Amino acid sequence: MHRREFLKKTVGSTAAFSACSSLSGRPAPIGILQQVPGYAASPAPAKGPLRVHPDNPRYFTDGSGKAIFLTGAHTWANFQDIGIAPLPRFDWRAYIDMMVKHNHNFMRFWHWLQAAYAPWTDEKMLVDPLPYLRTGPGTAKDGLPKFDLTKFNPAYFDRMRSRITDARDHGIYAAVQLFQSFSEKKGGAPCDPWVAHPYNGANNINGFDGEKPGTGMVDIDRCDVREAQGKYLRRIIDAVNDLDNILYEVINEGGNKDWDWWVVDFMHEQEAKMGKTHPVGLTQNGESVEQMRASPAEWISIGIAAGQFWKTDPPAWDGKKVSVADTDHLWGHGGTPSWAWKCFVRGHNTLLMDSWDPIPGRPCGEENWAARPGYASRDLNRRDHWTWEPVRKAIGNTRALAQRVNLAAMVPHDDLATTKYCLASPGVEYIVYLPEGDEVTVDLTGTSATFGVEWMHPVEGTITAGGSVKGGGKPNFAVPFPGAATLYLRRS
Amino acid sequence: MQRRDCLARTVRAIVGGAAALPTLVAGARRLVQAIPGPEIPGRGFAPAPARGPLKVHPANSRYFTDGSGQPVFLTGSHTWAGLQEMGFPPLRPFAWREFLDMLLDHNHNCTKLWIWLQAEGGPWTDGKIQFDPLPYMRTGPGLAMDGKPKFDLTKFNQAFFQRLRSRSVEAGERGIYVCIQLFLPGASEKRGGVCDPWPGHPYNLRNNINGFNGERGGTSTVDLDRPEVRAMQAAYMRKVIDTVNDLDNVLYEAVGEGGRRDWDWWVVEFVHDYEASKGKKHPVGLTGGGAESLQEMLASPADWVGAGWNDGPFKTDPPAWDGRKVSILDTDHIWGHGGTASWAWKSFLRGHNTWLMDPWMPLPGHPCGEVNWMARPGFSSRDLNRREHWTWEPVRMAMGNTRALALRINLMSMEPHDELASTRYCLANPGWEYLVYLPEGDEVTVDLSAVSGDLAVEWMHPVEGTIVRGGSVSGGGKVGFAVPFGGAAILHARKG
Repeated sequence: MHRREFLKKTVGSTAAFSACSSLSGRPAPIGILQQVPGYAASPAPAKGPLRVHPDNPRYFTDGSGKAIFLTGAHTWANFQDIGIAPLPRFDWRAYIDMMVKHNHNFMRFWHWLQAAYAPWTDEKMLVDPLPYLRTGPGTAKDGLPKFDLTKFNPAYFDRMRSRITDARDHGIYAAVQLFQSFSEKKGGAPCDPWVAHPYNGANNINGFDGEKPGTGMVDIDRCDVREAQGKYLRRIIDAVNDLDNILYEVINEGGNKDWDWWVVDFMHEQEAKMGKTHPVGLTQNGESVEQMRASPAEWISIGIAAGQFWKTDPPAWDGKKVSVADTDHLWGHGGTPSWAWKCFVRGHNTLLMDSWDPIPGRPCGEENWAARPGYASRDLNRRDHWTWEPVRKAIGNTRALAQRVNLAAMVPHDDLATTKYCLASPGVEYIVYLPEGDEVTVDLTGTSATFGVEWMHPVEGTITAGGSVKGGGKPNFAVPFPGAATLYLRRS
Repeated sequence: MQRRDCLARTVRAIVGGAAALPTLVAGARRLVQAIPGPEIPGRGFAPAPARGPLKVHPANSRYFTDGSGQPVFLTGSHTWAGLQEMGFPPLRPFAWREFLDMLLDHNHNCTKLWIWLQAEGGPWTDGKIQFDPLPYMRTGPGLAMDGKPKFDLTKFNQAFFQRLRSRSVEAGERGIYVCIQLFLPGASEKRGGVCDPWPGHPYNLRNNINGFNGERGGTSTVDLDRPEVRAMQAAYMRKVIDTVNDLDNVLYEAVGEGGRRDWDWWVVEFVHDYEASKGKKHPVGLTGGGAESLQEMLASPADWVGAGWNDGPFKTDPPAWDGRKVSILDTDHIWGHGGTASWAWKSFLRGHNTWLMDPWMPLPGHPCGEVNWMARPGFSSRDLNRREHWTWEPVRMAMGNTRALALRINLMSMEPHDELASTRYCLANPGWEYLVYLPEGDEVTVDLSAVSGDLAVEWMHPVEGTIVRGGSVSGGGKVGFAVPFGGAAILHARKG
């Protein structure tokens, strides 16, 4: 069955759900501007749902008409508490403060469907709250009451709404993760969360067995599974549709083309009936980049399967979809300030998979945050590892510059700078990244204007004035400090 | 006139006149004894004097070798006043010992000795900077254009050649090679700009008692095609060679940033031919940035070459070197004033030797036009012409660190292998030893398919030189390494 057929069926089944939740129709928030030291602009709440910018489809725009560059840190526990018993409670306030302090405006809002366990650990990782109520009768495999898949857990959706609202009040967008492939058994991973999945036939009172036989995974091709998923999606829409600061992510690194596109279409069609529509995105798993670009999604996140160069030399983006480059899909645990800047000047939005709250549990196999050849004591799974703070700062600095330029007119122009990292509105303004500092030649032959010159330290964000330069040639700029640098030219 | 004709004529001319020239080096020849040098903290290797003149290594022609049979990786700082004092009067002595100490402190093993022929002025400045000592005696009668006695081009200045020898010897005793720059047409003559050192040049007709006019009519440059000019130059070269030929730690740079192909090659062949009649033969090199292209230099009789700024991406991505000649990249010919630590490492891993044009002693004089060490777009207060500018110390340190690693590896068997590392900076003896540079740190995938068994892994910080052990890794496939510190890094993996 193809996604269109599925769509008709699932839309029909969810029509019985309330047309709108009690939470819909809330008034838009009033902007609360907070001064961010060292940054040029203060966070401000969204002025309308995001949609692809009509003039520069590398970016979204809200009601303001301006292009919005999205960047920020996200962490696995930023929605549901996850961990080994006794379950630690995530410090949401400290996390939001960190984002604001670093000038971030975007997070993925992580979702886990299993009550316990995870593919990466043999310890009993717990998740709370969950979308479905655990009413019983009977006991699920984790020793707690079975799920009733007809009853959603208000605590889950209340938290979703309250945190996204709070993020909104701090000028932060949230990509709501609709599904999670790590809630199921992962191919090759020795540890199995399927035992605690609500769609496991042994875990719910509804006699619903959503498993593709013997795989520990949800059978996403089955009609009854999609019906259950459609109800869940509809409940999410009811919870947050009225908010401007949301996007949707179909699934974290899972699914398949047909199901992915079905989810996208479903969200589009359901939201079309509601007050607002929000961008839906795909993160690369089995699909090729070209398939993702051909999909009905508004944004995509490229995975490492597309090539290692996405870590070191992300290609200039043409804007066929909005690109959100996410370290999660490239490194897992990892990232560099240079990557953040290269992505920005090549027309991508960015996300950092941040070990702000470590991913819990003792690994049951080789993991991407632990020992690697040459670095036996490596442990990136903690917020204070030296890897993270430079990236957090760098992505905040990219946003600081993004807010100062007319991003709607800026396009990657590798041809205009000898370093090949140049985002420009030729003749008006140029952002050039120098991964190794020293000097760069910029092609200003197409203009006779005079430009103010400014340098930014890519990590510290410090600004050094660089005088002015006249167009009409190819000036060779020298960096006034050691190491990597960002050059900003703006027509006087 | 073709260079071969000119060569024959000038060799005849100076052989006849050689007896009249004082022989400074008589009785002064001695082999530098191999004595262990001082320990260099953090590097673990002490410089040792050369064990014989350099010659191209028979097994790895990217490098020279001395009598030890080991390849010698050359790297070091050089500065314009390394041999002659230069500046405004009163000229202050250059702190040569302090400079040597700096080279040793930084683990350098090679420098250049700049030779300025003019008594006064430079093409970069309208200031009346002076040079001392000079190769020719100023005997008079009569005054030259600078108000001092005219030159006698038949008499060489003992003080100059004594210094040339003593500094070469002192460097050699510290394990440091000296590259003697024979000619500097671009810096001793007028070079396109507004300032003109020709009024201070000894070949200016008004400046010598010999009635010798070496000028190409009205150009303020030496006429390199004239036989009598070449004869004069040959006599000078002969004197230089007589002075230092017995020393092992000598190389020659025929001409800083080139004359023209015919003359350049004539200089190279002259030195080769004359040294063939002497005790020792030393490598002679050509450097780019002038009239010759890298391809022409590679086709020349020179033993080594230094690519120029116009020869390709030698600043940011120096190409892997095939060893057709020994390559010594010099920031002087690539930036002028400039250089980065990353360049030092990339050059090393691509099979080049390296020099840093170091303003240890600033180039004197107020610039008379745009110069490459001053203001540039984006950096109006730029002044690279001082030793303490933040540009320099990281490059000095990085070069010393490249040498520290060069001494620890089996350099003879190492070749650039871009294809073996995802960063494409890899010097390797596949199966045995790998050096990989990561300009932006983070991680690198190295193809260890040729390795059977395990390799020991360590990391070096490219500037600080600190070593971090990285355990061991099994070969047989492609391995992804993670850097245990922030920023650029060097990976060294080797058997046992």
